[in-house]
Amino acid sequence: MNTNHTPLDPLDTAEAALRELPVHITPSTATLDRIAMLAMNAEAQPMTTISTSSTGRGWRKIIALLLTAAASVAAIYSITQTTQPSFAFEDVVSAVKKADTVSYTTVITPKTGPASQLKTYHKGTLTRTVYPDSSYSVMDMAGAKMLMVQPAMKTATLTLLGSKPTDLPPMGESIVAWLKSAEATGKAVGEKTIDGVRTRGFETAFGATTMTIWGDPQTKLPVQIESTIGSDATSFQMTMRDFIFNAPLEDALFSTEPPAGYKVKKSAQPAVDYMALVKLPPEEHVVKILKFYAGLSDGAFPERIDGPELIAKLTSKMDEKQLEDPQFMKEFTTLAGSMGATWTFRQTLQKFGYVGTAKLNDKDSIVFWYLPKDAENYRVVYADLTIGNVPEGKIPSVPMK
Amino acid sequence: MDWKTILERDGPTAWRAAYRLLGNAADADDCLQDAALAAVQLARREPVGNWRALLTRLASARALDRLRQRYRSRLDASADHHAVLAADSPEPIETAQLDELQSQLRVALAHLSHDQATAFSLCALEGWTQAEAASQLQTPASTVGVLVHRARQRLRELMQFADPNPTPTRSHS
Repeated sequence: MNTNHTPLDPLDTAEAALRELPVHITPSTATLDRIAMLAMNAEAQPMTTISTSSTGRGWRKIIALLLTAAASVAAIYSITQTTQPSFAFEDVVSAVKKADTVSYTTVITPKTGPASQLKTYHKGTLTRTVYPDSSYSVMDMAGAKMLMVQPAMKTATLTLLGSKPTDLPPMGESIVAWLKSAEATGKAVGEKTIDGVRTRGFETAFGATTMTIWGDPQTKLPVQIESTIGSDATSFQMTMRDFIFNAPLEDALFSTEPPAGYKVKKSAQPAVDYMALVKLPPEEHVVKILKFYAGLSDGAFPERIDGPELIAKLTSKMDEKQLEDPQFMKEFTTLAGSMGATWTFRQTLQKFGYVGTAKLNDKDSIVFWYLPKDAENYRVVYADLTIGNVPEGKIPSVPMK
Repeated sequence: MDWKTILERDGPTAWRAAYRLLGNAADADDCLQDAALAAVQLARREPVGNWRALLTRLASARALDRLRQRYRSRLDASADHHAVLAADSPEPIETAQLDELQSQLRVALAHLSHDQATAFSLCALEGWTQAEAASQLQTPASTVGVLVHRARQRLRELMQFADPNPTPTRSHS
């Protein structure tokens, strides 16, 4: 750096400072070797597993798993409940629905700390997710089992799902759920070139989530989906990108057979009837969420009840022992479904609201309310988690969340 | 494809392009990795004549996306205050001023259009000619020139009114 340089203006000075990067600032040889290895693997096997350099924490894995589970339920819920016609992005939704396979990268970037990167492959009801530490899971929804493999420890866990949700739509439908949110409330936000593709963007907001979908007008398929989830200290960014549709995916990629030589642990996941779950009315989902959250929070309720932000809060309150507790996990698994359903409240309910300032058992405090179709009175959930009906004049006068 | 040779030969240039924009090695690592994997896909579709240019463009694009994410989500602007220039040992005050200006430039870049930011980063920061950038961006050189010119105008405006202690902004609530 020439410290005698006389700056012409702040831009020239800053530009020069960035341009004259000291020569010793370079990537490590190990980094280059690792990336070269990834590139070779990707080239040799188009859909091979891809690990990333980002360090992962357990809760992010849980978030990712629950996002998938919750998104599935949201998909069913929106398909069965949403009546609004498509208008802005219907071509994209249609194209995604026709896809036989899809893979994409999801980057989760918390407000503080490093990003985590997941790679996901969908083929019908099969899903493979590769995590930052190279561990991976294979979910076979039709076969009702999930394999979690940790190469670093040479261990594998085969989980038999308690229920066999064969009626669930393919996991790729979870993307459709996101797209359906966009078509309901999305607005055009212009164009952007992503990896050489000129895309058109649609932005939407639901709950505490702001999402922008960038689609390719030629193929009608999404190129990138960017979300800002939450608005407080636990908020995070989620970007889904590198979409590849309809590429052949080998069956071996979705094998639930543990690798040879690995120590195998078998477990059984609690039975959860997702189809029954999505038929529950909104207030019952809310009661489940509030009861679970309050149990972890000395009776306090969450600031918001919609989606991933809540998952992040919940997981931050859990400990390892709870994750090993079958009963706890059963409640948590069920809860993920309820949270998925809440994602679509904005699309399906005309008038609703939530205020989480009360504490559990404040029996006179209304925390959640909505107006059912063609009803005169609101359905409400009180802080003691009872349900009732009240006229409009008695609901809290706070902004809708 | 000899990826080891490609990465050893051209990876550092692409990595440094990302580092310039983001100011830390971990993010630059991620951007180069993303660029390499995207390059694998691109190479399947068409022959690659200039790996260095391709990797640098892709890494820069990833870095700009991250920069945009960072400043449009209220992430901590202090993430930019890395000792990029520390090794050159200017006076402490000068270092602080330069750090601040670099931070302001990164914030301002996050508020440019994608095309302007890309053209500026490749031409102004990476030292590409307009013809080189035009080739990679598949746009006329004259367009690149206009993009860089407008980027500079906008950056000057943004930096002129920049807070001395830049606070990230959010584009939507």
